[in-house]
Amino acid sequence: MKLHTYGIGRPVVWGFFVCLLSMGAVRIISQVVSENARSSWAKDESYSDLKIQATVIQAFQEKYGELFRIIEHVKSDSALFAELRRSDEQGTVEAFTRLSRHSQRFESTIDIVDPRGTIVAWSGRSITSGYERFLPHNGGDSFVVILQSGLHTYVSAGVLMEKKDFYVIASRPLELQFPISNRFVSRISFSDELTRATGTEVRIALNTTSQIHSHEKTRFVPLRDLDGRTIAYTFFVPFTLNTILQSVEAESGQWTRFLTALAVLFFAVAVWQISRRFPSLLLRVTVLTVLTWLVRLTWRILDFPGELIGGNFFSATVYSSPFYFGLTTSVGELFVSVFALCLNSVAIWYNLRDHKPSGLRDLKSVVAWVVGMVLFFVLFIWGVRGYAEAIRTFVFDSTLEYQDASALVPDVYVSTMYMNILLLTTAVLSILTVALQHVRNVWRGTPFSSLPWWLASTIMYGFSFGLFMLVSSSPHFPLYHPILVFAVGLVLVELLTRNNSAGSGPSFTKTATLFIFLSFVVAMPILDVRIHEKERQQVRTLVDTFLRPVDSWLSFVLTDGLRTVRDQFQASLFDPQEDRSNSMAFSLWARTLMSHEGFNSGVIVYAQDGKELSRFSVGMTTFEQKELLNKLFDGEEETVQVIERVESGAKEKSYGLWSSLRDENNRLLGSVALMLSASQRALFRGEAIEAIRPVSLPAFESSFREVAVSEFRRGSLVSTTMNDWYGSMPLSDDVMDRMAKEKTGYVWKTEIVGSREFESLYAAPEGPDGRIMVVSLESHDLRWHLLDVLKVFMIYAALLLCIAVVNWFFAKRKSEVTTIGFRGKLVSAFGILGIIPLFLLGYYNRQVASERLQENITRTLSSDLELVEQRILGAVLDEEDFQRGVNNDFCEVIAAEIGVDFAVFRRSELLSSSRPELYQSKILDSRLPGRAFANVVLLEKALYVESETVGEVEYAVGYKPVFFERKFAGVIAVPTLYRQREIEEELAQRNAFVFGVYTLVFGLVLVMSFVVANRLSRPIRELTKAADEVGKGNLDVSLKPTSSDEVGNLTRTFNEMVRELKTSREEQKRTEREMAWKEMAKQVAHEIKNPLTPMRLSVQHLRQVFKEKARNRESILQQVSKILIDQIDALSRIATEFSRFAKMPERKFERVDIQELLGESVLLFRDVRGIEFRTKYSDTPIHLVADKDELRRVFINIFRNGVQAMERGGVITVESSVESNCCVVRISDTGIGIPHETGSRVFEPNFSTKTDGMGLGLAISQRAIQDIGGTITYQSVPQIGTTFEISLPV
Amino acid sequence: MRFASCIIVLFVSTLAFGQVHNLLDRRKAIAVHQTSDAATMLQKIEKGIERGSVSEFSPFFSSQVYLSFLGQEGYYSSNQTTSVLQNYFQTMKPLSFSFSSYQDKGNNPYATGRLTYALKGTRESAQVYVSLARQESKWVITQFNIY
Repeated sequence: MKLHTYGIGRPVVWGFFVCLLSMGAVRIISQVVSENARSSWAKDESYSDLKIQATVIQAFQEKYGELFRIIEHVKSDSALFAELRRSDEQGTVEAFTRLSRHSQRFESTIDIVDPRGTIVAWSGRSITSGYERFLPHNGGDSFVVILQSGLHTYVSAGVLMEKKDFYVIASRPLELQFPISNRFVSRISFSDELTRATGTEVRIALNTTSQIHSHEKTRFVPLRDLDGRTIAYTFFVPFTLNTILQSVEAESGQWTRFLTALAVLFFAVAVWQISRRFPSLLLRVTVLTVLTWLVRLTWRILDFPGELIGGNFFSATVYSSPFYFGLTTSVGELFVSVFALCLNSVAIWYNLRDHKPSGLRDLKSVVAWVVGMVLFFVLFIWGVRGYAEAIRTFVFDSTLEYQDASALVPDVYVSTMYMNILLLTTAVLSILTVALQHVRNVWRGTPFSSLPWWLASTIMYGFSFGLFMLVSSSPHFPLYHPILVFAVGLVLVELLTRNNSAGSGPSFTKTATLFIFLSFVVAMPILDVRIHEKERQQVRTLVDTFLRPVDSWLSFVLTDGLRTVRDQFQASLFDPQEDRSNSMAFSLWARTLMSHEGFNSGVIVYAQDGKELSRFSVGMTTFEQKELLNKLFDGEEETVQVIERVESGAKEKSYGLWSSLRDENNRLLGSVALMLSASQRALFRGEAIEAIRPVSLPAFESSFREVAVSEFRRGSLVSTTMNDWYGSMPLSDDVMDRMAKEKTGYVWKTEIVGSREFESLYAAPEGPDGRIMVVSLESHDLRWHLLDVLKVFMIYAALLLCIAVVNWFFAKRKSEVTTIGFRGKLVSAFGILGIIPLFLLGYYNRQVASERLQENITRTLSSDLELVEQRILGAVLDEEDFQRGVNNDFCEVIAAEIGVDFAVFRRSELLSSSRPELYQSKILDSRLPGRAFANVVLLEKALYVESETVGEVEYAVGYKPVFFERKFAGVIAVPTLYRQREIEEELAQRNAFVFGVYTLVFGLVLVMSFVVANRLSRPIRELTKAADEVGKGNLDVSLKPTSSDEVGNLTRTFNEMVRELKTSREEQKRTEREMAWKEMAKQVAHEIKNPLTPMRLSVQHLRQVFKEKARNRESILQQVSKILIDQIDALSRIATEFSRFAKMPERKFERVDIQELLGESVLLFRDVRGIEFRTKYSDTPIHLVADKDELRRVFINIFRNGVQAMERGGVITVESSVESNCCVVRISDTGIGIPHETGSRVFEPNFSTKTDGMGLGLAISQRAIQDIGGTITYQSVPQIGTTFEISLPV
Repeated sequence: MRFASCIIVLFVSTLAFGQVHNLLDRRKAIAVHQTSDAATMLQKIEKGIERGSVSEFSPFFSSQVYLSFLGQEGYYSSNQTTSVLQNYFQTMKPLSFSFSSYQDKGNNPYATGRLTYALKGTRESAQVYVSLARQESKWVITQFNIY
């Protein structure tokens, strides 16, 4: 079967069958693999375990192998050790500096240790206070050890230097967990790495008591050091036959689904290629639509490409809305769906855009058509509502930040959503464009065509809008949406068809530009409105969060925490590695819901005798804890106790719970107390919004602007985070009045605070205390909105660039490259020149923001350090007092007074801190960083600032030495707030300030560039147009020079050239005419001469006969008379034919029904014997403007030729149709055909294969057809027949 | 006529991105309105969780739900919450569930219970906490935590 005869491309067929074969192969392979697994499982089971063990051991060896490589690198730094061996301060400082470089380069902790195990130089996070226990005692030069520090586990490797004076020890984390606040969670997990490598769950532990909870059949692999001693264990769940089979089945299922998805796509393409041959437009459109959605739905069912790509792109946590069939359950699914929709709509628009239906002749049909269009527009407005609703879901059903001002380029998810909006808008505009183009085409043929089509469309649309409003009582969208969409649709149609009327439609790139730009115009205002609505919803949620009673939730968190502590306590009791005195409470706390939710909370573990064993708390003051514990132990076991305290005028609650801890035999082991504060404090002081949040807050669409929370009680302000509001400030009368009127209890108010505008939501809960919560969100001014516009514009511009490049690539392959016009080039150049500074500014902005922040941080840290130092020196008498008195409580009191958290170091080790929990939990390092030690302790620099990281968060710490009587006593360290966040805030502000304004400038530049380009290119365009005219033969063209520059000179030269060309052309014409007349005279003479010869011979013969008085002279007279009459007729015909060719009669153009004319012409030949006429006319009449008589002569001429070619009879078939805006008439005969050798000359004058013709008929016909803009061609097969095809513009 | 048919075919393919939402919202509103009793709502939620059928209680979701599951947490729209929980229960097939502690009186009803589920053939468990709040004279789910 030849598939190409059906229009199916070969790659499509190959693709389809390759997919089918691959599916079969996958199935067979999976069967074979499963069967093999079953038959050899008994043998493979142990091998499987061994393989996992080998993988684990190899991975561990690679881990410490990397450490040894780092050590070798450090060892090769002879300068480092030379400086260290100098034993003076300068040398040590240099050694620290060099070590720090190695540490940063390899992202590891590097310690230099003397042979006794004392650390003499270091860089990176501390693993242990000393290495005495771990150094090899058997004379070995190297070792490997696994160490636990809080929740972190490290692997360390050490090597003794050749001179035996130092060990170089490098360490890297195996397991890292930062449990406080989700922002600090940055897990490094060797367990997870092993799980991925082995394909089964693997966990690492320092002892054998741990195992994987849910599996009883866990096995372990000991991890050994260089001497073969076990230093840790890895537990894994062994494979079973079932897991192997399931894994094979899952793998093959995934491949099968992937191949099925591709096969369906190839199948759909094949059917579409076949459908392109269908004559019916309706059928083609239907097939295209059905195929598009068949593929889409099949892909959805097969979870393609979601299963392949996965991640957040296909996660409901980023976006999900409940559209039918799950077509919009994620950003990725939405993209595939709207892509299909857009492809479908645009393809249909492409098919229908040039469709020109026949006009409506009578009033009845016009009315029916108008009613149909009105109904369609009602349906369309319904669709616009759906479109607006879709954009609403894009905003409301997503957790995306559309307006992140700190980033000039949105992240991949937001960018994809912008693409989705573009595709959806393009689909809507395509539908509208099809309808409006239809109206435009039809309206011209109606009796009301004096009314402009756009006005007629507007009236019908307006009427539809009114009808829609009547039908739909609640439109669910701002009324300007359908009006905006319609207005843009009108503009689009005008721009698209204006080019069409000039004879050539806009190029693909220009069409795409129009659609993208106008989609941008339609979508942006709608999106902006929705984002603002969502912000208001988030403010409402925030207010509700503050107002909602949290007792039950906090009680649950506390009781759930107790359950977790009990579970964990059993295991930890038997853990010999656990450092109970310090980190047991922290380890327990870190696993509770209190930690997970980021509450200010604490855990205290007591021994049997009531002695405190371990305590860890975060965010709760000592006083608060004491107060709560007093009440707690007065109450019953496992009963939640609550205390209320008044702080800053507002009540704050704390919750507590205690319980005894017993072993399996119900023997009392001790007890535990859990504490929880309803308020929540961030890691460092100063974060306003998080300071009072009861639970996590909704992320605002547009971050980096102030969100203030305030509380009024009985008409006066009791607490606020708003800078310009003050305590006891009265509630405004306006709000009071509106509160009284509003039954919902919520009042929105726009208010100016300081110099900024805020949108505030006042909410009053039910209750007698007159409490009103206020959440105020700073309003964005125009600059922020312009910045958003600029970002979306850049994304769409990038898309347009991609489209242009792809289009150029394909056009180049087809050798149809259309270059951009002069004006387009100018505008593009201006546009690109406008965008380049954007990126330079972006880069510059980031640099400036970073530098400014660095300066601010240094300045702030300097003043904070001085403040802390003054307070310490003011309270401490001498060095001894400093070492004893500066404890955690002392630091906490000072920190609370001055609002700055700090830590105090005694040389390199921590002495005390206002936030000791951060050091207990190993979130912050209790060892002074190496370079800080070198600079502050050794060099005694007055200020040293170092950038440090916790997890992924970078922050700066300032260090300052403290002296008593010029003698060094210790170091004060002050950490900053979240530095990265500040940079982003600074960037956001700068971006809005600079780029918001820049967007305006850029927009003006674009408009101006268009105007300037238009003016500059106008003479060139006019010259081009004039040259085209000249090319078409119009030499009456003349341009008026508008300037005296090069372009003006060019215009004048062009005019001169055209004048000369015209003179030359007229001369040539005259010569040609003379030549033609000479030729004609010769031809006429020749043609006249032909009949004259027989006439002369006949007359001579007659004269001879009469002279001889022959008897048959009468009959001869008859014969000669007949000959003479025939020849005179021939002469007459010759004269007529020449007359026609030389001088055609005046044409009379009129509206002609082509099928009626064909019918009339056929009738003339109905009596010819042996000839049968068959007609296949178009269903609808085809009208065109032409000279009716002339066309009739053309048809008669072709019919006559056909009749003459069928001496033995035959069939003449006459067909008419409209194809590509042309009326096509095909006249076929079954005659002898035209020989190939003469085929090229049939339209030449004087050429004929017949004896009785002049050979002018087809030449005249061709000239007549060409004169009205048509073409005439023929196809002929000798002895089969000839088909003439006449194509006429309608 | 053929042209009009083409346009209608085209339109059917694009019909109503979001029309459905209004219908769904209306259905939700009706369902919530009909269930004004917090205790009854909690019972429905309990049954829904037990069957792993989120649609049984998704009409009760507030417009913004504080959701916490598998280490992720934050505010999600009711539609997102529905999808997220549907995906969750597709992976974690519930075996049994019942609320062990109730608080269906007062301004802040809540319930918590232990969910037992099957994950890749293994039996696992998690704690579920559901909290309700009164919004516009209806009870809605404002918090849904799975630990």
